[in-house]
Amino acid sequence: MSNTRFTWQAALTRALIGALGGFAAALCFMIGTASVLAATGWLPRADAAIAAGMPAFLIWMMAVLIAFGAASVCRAAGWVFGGATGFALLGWMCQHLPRAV
Amino acid sequence: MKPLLLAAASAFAALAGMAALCFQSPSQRHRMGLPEQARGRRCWFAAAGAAMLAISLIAAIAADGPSFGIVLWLCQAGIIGLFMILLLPYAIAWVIRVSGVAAILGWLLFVGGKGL
Amino acid sequence: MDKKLSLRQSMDYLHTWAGVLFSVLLFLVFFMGTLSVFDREIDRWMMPETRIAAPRAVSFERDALVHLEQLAPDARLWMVQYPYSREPTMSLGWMGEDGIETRHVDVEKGRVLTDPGTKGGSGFFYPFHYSFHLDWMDIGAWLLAIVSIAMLVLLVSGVVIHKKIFADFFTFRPGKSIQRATLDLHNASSVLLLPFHFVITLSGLIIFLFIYMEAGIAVIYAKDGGSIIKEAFNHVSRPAAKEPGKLASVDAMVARSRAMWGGGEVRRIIIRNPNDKNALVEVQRRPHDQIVNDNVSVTFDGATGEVLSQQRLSPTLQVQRFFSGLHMIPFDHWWLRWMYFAMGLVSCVMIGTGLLLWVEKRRARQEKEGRVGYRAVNAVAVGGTMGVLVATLSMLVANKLLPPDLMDRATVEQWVFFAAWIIAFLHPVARAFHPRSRTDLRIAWREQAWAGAGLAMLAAALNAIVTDDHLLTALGQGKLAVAGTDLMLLATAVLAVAAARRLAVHGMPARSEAASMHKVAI
Repeated sequence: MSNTRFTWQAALTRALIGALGGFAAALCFMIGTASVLAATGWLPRADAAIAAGMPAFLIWMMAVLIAFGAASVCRAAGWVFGGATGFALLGWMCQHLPRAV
Repeated sequence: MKPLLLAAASAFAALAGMAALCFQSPSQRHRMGLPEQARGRRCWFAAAGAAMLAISLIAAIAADGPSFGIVLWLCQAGIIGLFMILLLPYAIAWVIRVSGVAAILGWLLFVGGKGL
Repeated sequence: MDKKLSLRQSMDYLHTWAGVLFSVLLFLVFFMGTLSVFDREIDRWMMPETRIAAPRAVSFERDALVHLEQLAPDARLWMVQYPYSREPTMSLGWMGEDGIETRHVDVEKGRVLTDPGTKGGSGFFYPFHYSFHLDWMDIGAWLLAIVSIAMLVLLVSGVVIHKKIFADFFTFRPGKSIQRATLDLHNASSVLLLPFHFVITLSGLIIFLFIYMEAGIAVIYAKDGGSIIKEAFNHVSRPAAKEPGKLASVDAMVARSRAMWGGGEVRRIIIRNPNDKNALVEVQRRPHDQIVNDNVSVTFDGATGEVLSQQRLSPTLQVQRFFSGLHMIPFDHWWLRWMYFAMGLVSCVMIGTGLLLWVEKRRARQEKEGRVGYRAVNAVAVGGTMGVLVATLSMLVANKLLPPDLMDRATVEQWVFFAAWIIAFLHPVARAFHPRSRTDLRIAWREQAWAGAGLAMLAAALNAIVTDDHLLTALGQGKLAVAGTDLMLLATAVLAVAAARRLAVHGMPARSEAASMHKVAI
């Protein structure tokens, strides 16, 4: 049973990081992964989007778990938003950099 | 007829398998007032339980094809297992007897269904 | 600054609070989803005129076109749902001025049935499950997304905090205290059906992938343009020519489709711009023999009958459709359907027991501190679980009592549901703060269980009285949908009585006993 607790401010912040940040991370994961799959020619664009979209919900779930499991609110934000940024960067690179032969 | 026999075999084997896994659990045996098992016997029960669940899976796939079979097996094992757990505190002897009969029936129906 | 908690402690906190905040919505989703497993059967019970046998043969020209040309000659879109064993009437739909309108047709007798005056299971319980009837700007779908992610989080955090998950695998001790038995039931129902809970939740999210990931899809398609729907589904569309045209034989198109599929049944026919030169006819296959929810639709030129495209899903899209089929059960498999129903009920038990645990574990401490939060949560728990059952049964009773020619009958029936639900929330609140009953949290549960039992029996009795289809008659005539629903109502009544009697026997434990239970670890 939960005898231990976060302060309500910390709980709310972590919840927002998990819910909103997690959704952003899921979207960025989808964009990044789909861009890699399409750019490498492994999958056509539509299939790449769907293939990346399905596990994106697990990324969202993991973001919420990380948001509450991280040692501090700052670390929670770092993991979640850092992950989102990394995926977004990957997507941007695949979409805008010239394709390697 | 064959799919029906195999489907029934799958259900009975699932019940027997969940029962065998349940009865090899030391904490469960303690709660049911059953004597402690030697390690070898525990392993035998666990192996028997796993074997019955494997027969249940094979029968389900043979009855319904791979995709339906696997899905049905997962659902069936969980529901039958839960049903058995809820009954156990009220009718231990009855569950033990039924599980034994289910193991025999499951095996016979499986062999019969495969043979047809 | 928050305290440093171990992983298990933080997951315990997350599981506890996510549970109490999302339980009612989760219960709603799972309860309505469980009813939706048999939504067509509930339709038969609620729409007596549709209790007919499925027709042997169906002809579009004879059974649908004749009526559509009378009812909706100028509509831009016609949709015809073909009858089958679970839905024996043909459903005609068209895009009207006020949105989509539908009528049911008795194919054997060739007549359009009167408006049933009810949404039934497929029109009320099923949409409640996936949208909470909040359709404006897809708010309901987004709420469902948040609730679904919460469910996945609850499942994973529950596994993390369950210390002896394998040792306690088969544990159920009803002879012990109510709190111990409740915890055992919560654990057993969660762990044994963990694959089901996880997959059903994830698959629900995947079904709505094109809504939830719309922003991501827009970014992926921003640079080069195009449409994911057209690319993924080989979707053919073209604007109306604004010149009159005559439809070629749709029955011939159906026969051609069946040949291309290598057999199978028609699920639906969609005709766009039916009386236009550029009419399109899409014939969809019913996936009765596979899990993959694939329509394998064939699109024809409406005027010439020429095949324009056949949908062939890529392996990736087949995976998405597999998850869709796993969730929506479009296939014919009665044993599996009943398994889903049972698992849905177990999910409701899991959620309900979780709520009860929260209340019980806090009661002792909060009573000592003079706080009333646990009483409020208990009231919400009663209204959000037992109350939903009471509201559902009230709606079924109203279905039999409301006059058939009542104006907006379907809307009135839905208002009965919501009115009963509001009362089911107010009742435990009143009980929670009433001086005579506030020490006994179970009074509200007990009273609503008795109400549920009474309503369930009344609904079954009214079906017999109002429609002449009592249980034995329905069984004798092979109306298994009606008989099955009556049997479930009677079973509900029996279970509700058993629950009410058990709650009366096991009253509120004394404060000291409750305090010692507080130390019970998960």
